[in-house]
Amino acid sequence: MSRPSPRPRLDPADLPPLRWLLGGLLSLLGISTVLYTDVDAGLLMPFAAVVTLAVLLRPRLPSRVPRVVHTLAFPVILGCFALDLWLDLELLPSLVRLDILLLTYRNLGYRGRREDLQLIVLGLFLVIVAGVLSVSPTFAVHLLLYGACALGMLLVLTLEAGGGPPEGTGVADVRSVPAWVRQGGWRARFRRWFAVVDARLALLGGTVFVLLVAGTTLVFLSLPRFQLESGLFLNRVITKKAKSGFSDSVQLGEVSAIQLDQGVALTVDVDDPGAVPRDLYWRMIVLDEYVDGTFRLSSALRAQFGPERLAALQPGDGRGGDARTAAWTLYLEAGVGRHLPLLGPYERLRFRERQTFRASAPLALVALREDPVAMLAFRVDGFRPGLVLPDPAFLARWERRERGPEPGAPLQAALPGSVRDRLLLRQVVDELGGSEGGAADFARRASAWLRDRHGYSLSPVIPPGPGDPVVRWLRSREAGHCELFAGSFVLLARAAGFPARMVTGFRGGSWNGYSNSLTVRNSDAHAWAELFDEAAGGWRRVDPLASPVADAGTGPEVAAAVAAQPDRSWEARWDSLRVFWYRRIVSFDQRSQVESARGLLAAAAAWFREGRDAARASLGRAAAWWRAPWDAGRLAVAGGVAGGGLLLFLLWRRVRWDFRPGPGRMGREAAVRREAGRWLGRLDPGVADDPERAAVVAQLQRLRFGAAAGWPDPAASFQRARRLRRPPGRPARFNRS
Amino acid sequence: MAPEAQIPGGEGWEGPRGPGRRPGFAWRRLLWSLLCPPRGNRVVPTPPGAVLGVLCAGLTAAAYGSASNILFITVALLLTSLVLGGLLGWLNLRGLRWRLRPPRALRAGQDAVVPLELRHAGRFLPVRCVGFELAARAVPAGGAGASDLPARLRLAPGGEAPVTGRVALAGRLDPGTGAEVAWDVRPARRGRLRIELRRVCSVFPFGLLRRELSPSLAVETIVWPAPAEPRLVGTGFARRRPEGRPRPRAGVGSDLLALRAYRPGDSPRQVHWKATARTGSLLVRQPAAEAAEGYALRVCTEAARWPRPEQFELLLSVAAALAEDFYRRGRLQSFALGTGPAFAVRRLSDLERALDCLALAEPGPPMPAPAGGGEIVTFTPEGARGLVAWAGRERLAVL
Repeated sequence: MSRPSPRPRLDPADLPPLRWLLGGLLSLLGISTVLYTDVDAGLLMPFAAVVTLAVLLRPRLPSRVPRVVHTLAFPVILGCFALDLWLDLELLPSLVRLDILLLTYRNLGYRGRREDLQLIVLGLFLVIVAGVLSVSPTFAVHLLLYGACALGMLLVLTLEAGGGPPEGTGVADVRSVPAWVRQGGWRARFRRWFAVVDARLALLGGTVFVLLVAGTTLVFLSLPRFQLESGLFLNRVITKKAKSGFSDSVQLGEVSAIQLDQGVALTVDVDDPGAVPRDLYWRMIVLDEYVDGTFRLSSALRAQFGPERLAALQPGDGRGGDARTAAWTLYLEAGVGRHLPLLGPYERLRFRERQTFRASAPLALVALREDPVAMLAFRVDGFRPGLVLPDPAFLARWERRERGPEPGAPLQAALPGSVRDRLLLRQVVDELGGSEGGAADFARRASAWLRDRHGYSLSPVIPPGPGDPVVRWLRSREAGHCELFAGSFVLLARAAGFPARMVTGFRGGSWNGYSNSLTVRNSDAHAWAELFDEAAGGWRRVDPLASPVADAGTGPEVAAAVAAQPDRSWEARWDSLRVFWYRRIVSFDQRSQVESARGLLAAAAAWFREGRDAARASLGRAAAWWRAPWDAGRLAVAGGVAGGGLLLFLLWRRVRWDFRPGPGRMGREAAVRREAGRWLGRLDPGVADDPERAAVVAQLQRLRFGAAAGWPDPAASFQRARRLRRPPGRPARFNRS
Repeated sequence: MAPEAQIPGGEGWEGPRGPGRRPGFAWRRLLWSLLCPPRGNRVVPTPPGAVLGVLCAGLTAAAYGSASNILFITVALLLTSLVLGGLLGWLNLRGLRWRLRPPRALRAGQDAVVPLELRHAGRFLPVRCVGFELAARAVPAGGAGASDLPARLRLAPGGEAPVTGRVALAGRLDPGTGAEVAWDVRPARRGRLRIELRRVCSVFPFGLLRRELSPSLAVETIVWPAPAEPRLVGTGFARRRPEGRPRPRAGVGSDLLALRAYRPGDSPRQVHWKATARTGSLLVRQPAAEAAEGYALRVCTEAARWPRPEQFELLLSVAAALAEDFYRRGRLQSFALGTGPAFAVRRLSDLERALDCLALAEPGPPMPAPAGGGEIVTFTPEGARGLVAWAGRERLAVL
């Protein structure tokens, strides 16, 4: 005997459209992952998304697809994949595009069980690839949504199959229109689903989702961490084009082009904010060779990089110095370049996983062999940022220059080849007072001259004419960008007889007030110059665009200056999520696992101690209260507490922890049915010749089993039944008066 | 979870933990059962689950090879999905109870419905997507459950492959409610039939893992001989006795035959109150049968007479058909099988007893030929395949 159900039940006919909807959502989620990977699918992705969305909203569309499309689909798709692979010569992007094509095709026909399972796997592949390639926090959201939809799809498939095995092979005829397509629209279907879903089901679904998230977190934290060093995986089969402004060869305007991008390039965690210098110059590449508007890394400087190594640890120059040994954890976004942004010399550099790289101690630079395709995390201990980068080897060579030319690389890179350009540069240097006063003084004078003569603009105008473009700009009064300023300074310094070179990287960064970390954006890209200062024994940083501050110190007061204007915008909120993702998830390793376990144990122990102390204190207070003399007020309090406890106990006993589907909104109806059932049991069925009894029994049966719409008056029926039960001699209560 | 006592009927119900009252919940027992599942209780991956497992293994290898936490997250999600699926599957079957209620007897060669009754003793989650695998196999002579039969009846056909089938619970089973699923079975041969619930399985909720229980539920029933349609050739079905006067016998007619002592099962309306008051013991009326002429069915199972097994089976089928036909006409007086004693056939239970005997009959030792009275029906083989039913010297039916 089943109870009356207040809501319609899920019908097998409700499931196919739900499966169709979930399949479309899974496809869209899979296709949208291309948005945050660098796989080139500029036309394919919108096409696939539009087709999937159209078919999802208009389920009749697949029936209009000509049969020849289905006949030729797989050969054509495979042919496209082969052609794509042949043209692009990169496996993973081609696989991603193939996957998108297959997903699109799966949506062009009516799917059976097998096609739905294929769709889940195809979409999962896209999500995983996107996560591995981007290491983006969006991946977590994407994966959770995808997981929920995929589990929903599997649940619907299971419900459709019932308890028996799946019917047939599960392969659907992609063109035969299912019955549900012809019945109603999405509005009616959604209305029906909402009618079917009750609070209990929604609570159950929410609980399952929470359990899924919690379980995933727990398993992620518990999986033992060790690296097999077997050398996988996807980032080996895809290459990524880095920003051209940070390569070995930089043309005028390439660094400025990067500044147009507001995306995050670098996120920095510092365990000691007091070690953060006021002027942050993240050096990535040094360019000393100049030819006709292009700065390059010369072969002489290239030779200063050591041999290529495959390692996770790179020791610094060994000088140590007096720098605080603060630990800097840098998260370098993909696409920035293969040169690591560093503040200067360091004590130790450690990658999260082994990398192939070359390092140069005199240049204080590190270059990876390949551009990282995903976020790269590394930690630097003991940065020694400063205005002057010591270079004892170059100093020694510089001091020996009087004795005659040395074999090897020249000390000074060549000036522009044109005699006219050299004369023009010489004129400017003379105007500046030549090299009198040393390198530092020249740097100050030249920077001031440039700032006085030129404004700053991201869209500079270089006067047309013969000769070197930097010299032409230098002689003009046009505004320019950082590369023109730095390039002009380098040429002037060389004309004055000082070795000089250009450096590209980032300047500054914003302090995120939510995550307490530094965020460096692509808009912070910058170019400056380094001038060899014999007196200082190294390369002096000269930024013609910077305000003339004497020194870039560190210390609490400087850190306070950096953090004095924290960024608390919405963008900073999102960046803080990114930092959390990088700190806690992406950088989670064996050490973090051990630290988490220890932290958990310590927190549990502390919680236990606090709880024990609090319990002891409470018991002590209660005992003191109990021993105190009793009066009316204390008795009232004790009585109130005892009464409250008793009330809670009775409530507890009253509540039946029974979650069977109850009558819900039809509580009165269910009560009437129950009451009618009780009266039917009380009335003696043996007396069959009593018409009054038969009539009452008929009424009670209608109340018990019949539709509520056709009920007689329940109160009157129960009164008649009560009268029948009364002994014959006893009058009814309402007749006594 | 509701105790077993809430299940109405309470008889023969079994659950995932076997028959009887389910013990109380204990974490220790639960954790131990996760490590060491109870006997007959296993979880196997379905094909999609196996694919997911392979995928998970590959991603785990890749995660350890590349130390990529992205892959570790994916592995964690897949593993959690598997574990969550297993947990929900366990909850799904936890409150389910079942019992088999086959009909008292089936008939060989005819479809029959074996109902499997289900009850949900849980409180919160409905039960969904449960399949049941049933099997029916002939019980060999002397097998379990046959010891209460006479030794000569413990011979039954056996050794055949069991008939198996699957039924599924359609829709959902709400807590506190019951349902019935029907298994259509067609027993091939007469004899004792053992119907077993071999497996209860469910792939709920995600279809990745199949939870299988091997319950110990089995019931036995009787399969009567296959129906036969003998050609009635005699005139005895229509004519009365030549002596002229019908001999009254007990039946369900309206004429009073005699008074007899009350037996359990007699209707109180049949009590003859005056005679009871007079004699001091409870007496009931014994009405006479409407038709006075009747037959005594004597089935000779002598192996020498019926050397061909198929002819012996034919004998039992024809005997069963005649017994039912005579009973419907009110003409079956008594029944005897082989050397067994004859017993009167007065009510339906007597007829069923006769059919039970035929269901379990086997070729037996030599027996003396029954007296050839006109009311005694005997059988003789005719040719290699046929047989004849005789009423005295008259051919009554032929097949």
